[in-house]
Amino acid sequence: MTEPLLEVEGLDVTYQTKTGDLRAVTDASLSIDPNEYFGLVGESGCGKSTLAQAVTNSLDSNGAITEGTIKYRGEEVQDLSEKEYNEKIRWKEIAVIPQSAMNSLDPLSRISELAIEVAEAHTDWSEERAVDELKQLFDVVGLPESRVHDYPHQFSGGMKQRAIIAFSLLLEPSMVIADEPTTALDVIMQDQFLKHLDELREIRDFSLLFITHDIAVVFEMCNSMAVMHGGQIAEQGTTEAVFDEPRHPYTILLQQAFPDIRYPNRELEGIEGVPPSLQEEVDYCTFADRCPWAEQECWEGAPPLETVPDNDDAHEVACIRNDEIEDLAAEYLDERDVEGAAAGETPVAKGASAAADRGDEETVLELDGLHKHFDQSTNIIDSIKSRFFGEGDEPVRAVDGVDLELKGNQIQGVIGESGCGKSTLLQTIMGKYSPTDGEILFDGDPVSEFDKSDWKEFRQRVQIILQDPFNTLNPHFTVRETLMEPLRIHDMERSEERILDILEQVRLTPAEQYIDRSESQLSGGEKQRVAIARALILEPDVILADEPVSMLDVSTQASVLDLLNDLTNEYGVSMLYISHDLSTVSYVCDRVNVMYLGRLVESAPTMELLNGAKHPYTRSLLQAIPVPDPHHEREWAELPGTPGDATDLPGGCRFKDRCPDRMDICDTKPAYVDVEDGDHQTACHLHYNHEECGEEVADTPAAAISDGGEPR
Amino acid sequence: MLLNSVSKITDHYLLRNLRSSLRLYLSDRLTVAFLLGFLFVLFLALFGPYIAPYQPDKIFFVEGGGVLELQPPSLAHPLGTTSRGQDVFSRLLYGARPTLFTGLLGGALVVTIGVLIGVTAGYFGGRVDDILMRVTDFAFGIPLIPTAIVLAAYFGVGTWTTILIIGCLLWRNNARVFRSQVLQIREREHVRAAQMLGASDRYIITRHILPNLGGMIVLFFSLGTGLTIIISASLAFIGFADLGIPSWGLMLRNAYNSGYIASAWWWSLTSGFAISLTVLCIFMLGRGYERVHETNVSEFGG
Repeated sequence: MTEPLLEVEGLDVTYQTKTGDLRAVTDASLSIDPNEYFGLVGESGCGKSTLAQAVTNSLDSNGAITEGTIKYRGEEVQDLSEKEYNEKIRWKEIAVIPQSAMNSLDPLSRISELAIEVAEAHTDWSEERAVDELKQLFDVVGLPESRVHDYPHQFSGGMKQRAIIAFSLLLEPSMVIADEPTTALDVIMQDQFLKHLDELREIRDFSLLFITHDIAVVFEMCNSMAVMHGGQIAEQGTTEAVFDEPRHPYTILLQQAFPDIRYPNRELEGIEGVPPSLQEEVDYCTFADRCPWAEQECWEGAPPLETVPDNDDAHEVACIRNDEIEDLAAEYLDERDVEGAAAGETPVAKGASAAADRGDEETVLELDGLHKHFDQSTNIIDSIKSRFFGEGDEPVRAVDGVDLELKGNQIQGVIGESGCGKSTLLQTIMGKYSPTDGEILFDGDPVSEFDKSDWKEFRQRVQIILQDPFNTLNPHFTVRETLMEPLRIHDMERSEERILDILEQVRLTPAEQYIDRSESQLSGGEKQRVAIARALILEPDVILADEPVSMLDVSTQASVLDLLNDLTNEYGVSMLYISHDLSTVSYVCDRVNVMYLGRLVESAPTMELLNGAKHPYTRSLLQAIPVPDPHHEREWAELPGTPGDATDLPGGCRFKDRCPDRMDICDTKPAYVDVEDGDHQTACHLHYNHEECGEEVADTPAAAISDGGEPR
Repeated sequence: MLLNSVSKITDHYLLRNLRSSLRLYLSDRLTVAFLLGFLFVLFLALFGPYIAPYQPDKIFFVEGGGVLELQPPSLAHPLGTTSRGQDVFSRLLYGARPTLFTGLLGGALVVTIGVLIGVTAGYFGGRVDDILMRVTDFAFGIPLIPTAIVLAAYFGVGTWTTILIIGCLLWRNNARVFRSQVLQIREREHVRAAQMLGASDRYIITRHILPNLGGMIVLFFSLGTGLTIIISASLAFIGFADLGIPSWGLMLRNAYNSGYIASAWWWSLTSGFAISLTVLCIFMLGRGYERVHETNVSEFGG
């Protein structure tokens, strides 16, 4: 066996805070071999970033390593001073890809200047050598060498990512640490990022410590992994061993909680509870409180990390019941299913298969050729000019002709990359923007003709759930006041019972305990539940949800998704669910609409879309989703470039520049041809019978818009 | 029933926040020290005239018939006398009230105008924002002291004129800061959620925007108060003040005009220090409150 590159042994990291010491990492041990890709998974606050900061000697000033060693190439590095560490290790040996990688380049320096700066600080390279090395690396990651002298803003998002990867490898480090590098990216960008990293493995020798909350990415990318919970390592081993034979309850439940696009029908099970506060001395299993199989013994001492007797000798787990956990888990999962059936719980299908059972005939919300364009010019002179002389810039066509019908008690999803116009669509429906063209029909009545009392009714019957749990509640309100607000605004009876009742509905039980909490006393998932309760308390007909789970931990994500699913059935509401993540969308939605550059390109019932996506864009989106299975070889999505510019749309099909199946006709014929196949609509020439329909295509009103550049 | 409604009032969110903030506020020793300093000045402003041993205008004479001028501190006159034979200690005690009165009122005026303009511009945006911000830009172009002198020449010198002039010129900084804050708060999701519930603009401003501006408002109130004290002292120093009211600024002016500003340190330095220390206390109180507000918010955010 080779000597490990990085060895962490019995590491304790403590932060001193005003309210006492916080033991962020307790007794963590792991080792990373040369050329190994190592994944570190856990929910927010589990200590994974702290562990990485300890390794890179960049802990916050109030944090300190209180015990344990960090060995790099067999040499202890935890006691090195900042200066020594900079001289010996940083960049040269261990490089870091920061969390918001896209924004980490200094906008005022050329990339080559940054490289020279780094080389000067850590080596005795000449300027020419630094630039040459950077050029070589640009070549490796597939960027043109000539662009090393560009400024960061001259790169597109995807190129910036590659530049950052190249940059981190500049001094030929043996190890790269990436802390949540893909968290802020949408699924296509993430896919590209992972692709570059994966390809580099062939070209360069280095180990990667990949820190993320996304277990699917780790299963896909890494050779080995560790799962952290409450500051401790719960389980580690090769990804295959952890996937095939998980021995820690947390790992097992995490796998249950994680959506897998291959099985949209599978029930997701969230993990209840939160890890213990690390400010107190935790001398028991940190997972005991959340574990369905916890015994008295689990509360009596912290479980040691034991080696699991299987074919992977590095597989270790910190659970005293690890030898029997497999049977317990199997039993538990079976039991749960049986229980559900026996208790006469509504035999509502969960996940995508619910599609068939849901949705009335009646249309609640209808979008008819909806357009929302934004003027680019902001100053008065320009707007006068464009008004009277028809001059000026092209408008940004954020939403450019969307037709959609939302039926009663149906959940429809709208997905697309960031910048495709999905959020603008939602905000236009909410009435934040007035549409440039087209109409929103609510219950058959056009919204544009609403008077004041109609709006009031609309505001009661249409509610929203927003993305960010951390600012969805007013920090000055308690839960009670937050939930009173809708009732107060709509002059409805404000009773305590009603609030307690709705809290029970969103599973915040016992409700009496939650009602008086302030915003700061709720966890992220609980905040989002309160936000859902706020939307439901007026008993609306339509809920507009804007990525409601994207900022939650996986363990809470599943239960919130479940809740949305259940409540849709119980209350009979309809929902428009907007997200970039097809795997969560497919889990709640009955029907999915795919949006690209302001238009819907495909719309189909969820199962049909997953099994038979027709539009090349949808296929790429599906392909880009990481699969939580180390045995599964996923092809990288073939989707070069970024979405075009919504001010300067190409003639013909909007997707043609990125389309792997581009044909001649895509250049000349209009962008939007609706190919209907029963319930399945696609805007793509691949599926369009041109001979049969002949020239009609060019005459459709939608076509006129895309060619003429002016809305109807 | 009554008890219930009382407990409801005491549990109102603003009061509750105030209570918890106050607790945090008093946990910082430095802030407590400055609070005590401020309370002392406030005490002087309220009761100074009753403690003062003499009337501020009373002129003391030496036995021979001349004025008891420029006496260094003694038992009879703890802080000596002025060139006109007035008791400096008494004048100092009497001076606290007009000084603090001008400051607090001016600060309140400054922050009120600033909040009104800043919140309106930030919340409503568009044309309203354009117009209000251009007005603010214009206000930035007005030189403070010369304008104050010109206005004082028109409307006459006096405490009220001073307050009005300062209030109408100093709001410009606040308005900009409040506007940018509101631009951020306006985009928060709880504000958007309330808008989507159909809440009126007034409701959103009073329940969602202003409470979240609280720390800023207090900070700028304290800054405004301090600045008003300084500027009114400056105006008094160059002669634009009611000569009948013994403010600290006027004391400085008299000391300067007498020509003994350097030698009669008990006269010039005491009033100068009184101004500086008062302003320091007020600034630091605002700073302390802002710190409390920040910790609160970061706890919320955390």
